[in-house]
Amino acid sequence: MAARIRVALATGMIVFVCYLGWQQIPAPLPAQWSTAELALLHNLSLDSLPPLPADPGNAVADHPLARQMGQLLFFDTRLSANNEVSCATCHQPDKMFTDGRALAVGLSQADRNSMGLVGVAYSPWLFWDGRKDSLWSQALEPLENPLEHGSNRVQLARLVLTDPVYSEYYDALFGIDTGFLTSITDKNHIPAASPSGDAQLKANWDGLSPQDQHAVNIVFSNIGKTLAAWLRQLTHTPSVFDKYVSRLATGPSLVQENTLSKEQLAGLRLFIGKAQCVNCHNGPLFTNNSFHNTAVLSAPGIQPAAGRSQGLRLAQSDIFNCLGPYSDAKPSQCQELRFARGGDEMIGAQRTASLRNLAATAPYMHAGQITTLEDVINHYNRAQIAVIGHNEAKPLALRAVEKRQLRAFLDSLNGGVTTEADSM
Amino acid sequence: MIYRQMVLVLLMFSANISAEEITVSGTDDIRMEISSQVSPIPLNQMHNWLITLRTPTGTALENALIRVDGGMPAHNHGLATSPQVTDYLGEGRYLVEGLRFHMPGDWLMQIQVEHNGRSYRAEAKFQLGTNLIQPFLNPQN
Repeated sequence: MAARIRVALATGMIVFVCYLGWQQIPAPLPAQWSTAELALLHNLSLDSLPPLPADPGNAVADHPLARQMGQLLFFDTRLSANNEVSCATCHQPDKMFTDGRALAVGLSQADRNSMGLVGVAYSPWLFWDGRKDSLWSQALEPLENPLEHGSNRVQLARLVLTDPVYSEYYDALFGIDTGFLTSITDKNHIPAASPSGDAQLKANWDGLSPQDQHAVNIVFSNIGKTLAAWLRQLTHTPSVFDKYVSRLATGPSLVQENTLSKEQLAGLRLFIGKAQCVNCHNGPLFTNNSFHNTAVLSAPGIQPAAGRSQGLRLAQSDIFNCLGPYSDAKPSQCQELRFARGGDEMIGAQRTASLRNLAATAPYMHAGQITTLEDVINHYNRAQIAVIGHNEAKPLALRAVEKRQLRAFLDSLNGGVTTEADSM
Repeated sequence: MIYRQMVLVLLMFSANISAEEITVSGTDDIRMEISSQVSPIPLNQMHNWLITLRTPTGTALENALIRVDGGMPAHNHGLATSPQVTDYLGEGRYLVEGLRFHMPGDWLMQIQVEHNGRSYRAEAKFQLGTNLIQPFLNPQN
């Protein structure tokens, strides 16, 4: 009897050791990439990034003066209720324009993780839930959000029309109506007001004439357009991965010296294969900028996010959307908005984030729920049932060694940031 | 309403996706040709299709109502967009705007046609290869 127990224990031990070994031993790497794999790798490289897409809704998107004015505005704390919050409070250049926090903190704590801004011009939809259809329109919302800048559009319009520096830029770009300038300079005539502010701001807004409301909205939207002119210039500089892909031009051998390690190469193979990351993290920015429910749990104390199902409704009813009176686009140029898809399928769906520069953008997910990349990989490996909506992802059955390889590969996507203005 | 299935559906994606790779089902009451205005069919790029409808003898079908839908059955989700017919270009050709495929893999398209009180349905399967991945581009017009 004792002998049987010993045999059973020994067998169990052998099976356990084999399992551990299977979990930890890396699979051998092939010597070369296939033609299809090479084409895919090339498409993930920054060399494949097209020129900046046009922003038809923003007539000054590529105007040098708008870019300069936008840069000044971005770092100006006067764009807030307490003169302490600027765009750069949450979008810090040394953190790839994020803030290192789970949830953004302006005047107080918001309920979303600050999104990075590098390469943002390539996304047709903005915010995690895609409630904005242009960069210029997106830039407006935090300015009036009471948790972020807490300002109001009248205060902002007054600033850019009366400040000696901004007013010169503004006049050169858009022209200043002297009659309206006289009106807005008089705080009794046009007090601080906003349709999306507190009760007092709303009451003040309702008290303005439609003409004054329209004139304020024009200046407000132009502030967004100059901010967007600067933000759209923010682009990535090459990472080790991009260097690796450029080396592949000389031949399809997997190993290219002084670029990716063998562990990273194995991770790259998983990324475009078994782990299915490339399904959504595709293109040179490693994002399809679309919306997916991957069953990310809501942050503690915060209700599950409605995601894109709500975001699209907000975008469609937004006065500052592509089809609205403050857009410079023709309706035919608003295809993303006109043919957007919403509905139940988009419940809980958030925008795919870029995987470039992850080292500088932790924590991850729409409310910063996941702290480490190891846990992000575990999240997708398990692919559990979503609390709301349905999880598109399926369990991946990655072995321990494979998760480490995938994690190592992500490090090869860390590069820098540049603007076109830097190179001018 | 009479419901019929189309058999002869010529899906002529003038792209890297060849006809042999597309599985179609239907009946032979009408002929349908589909072509993408961006070739090959790109990933993550908004683009338009042309759908041409003719009788088996080649007569153009005018005043048809066309609905285009689709998705990825493997991922249990639909299209990223809601494409719509926005113009009739004559000779049986209909402009479909608002197509954008956001993931590589197997796509299943459903095209419903109503004409002269009859309804027809076609299904088309095609695979968007990972080697076709293109970065997102705004329409430039």
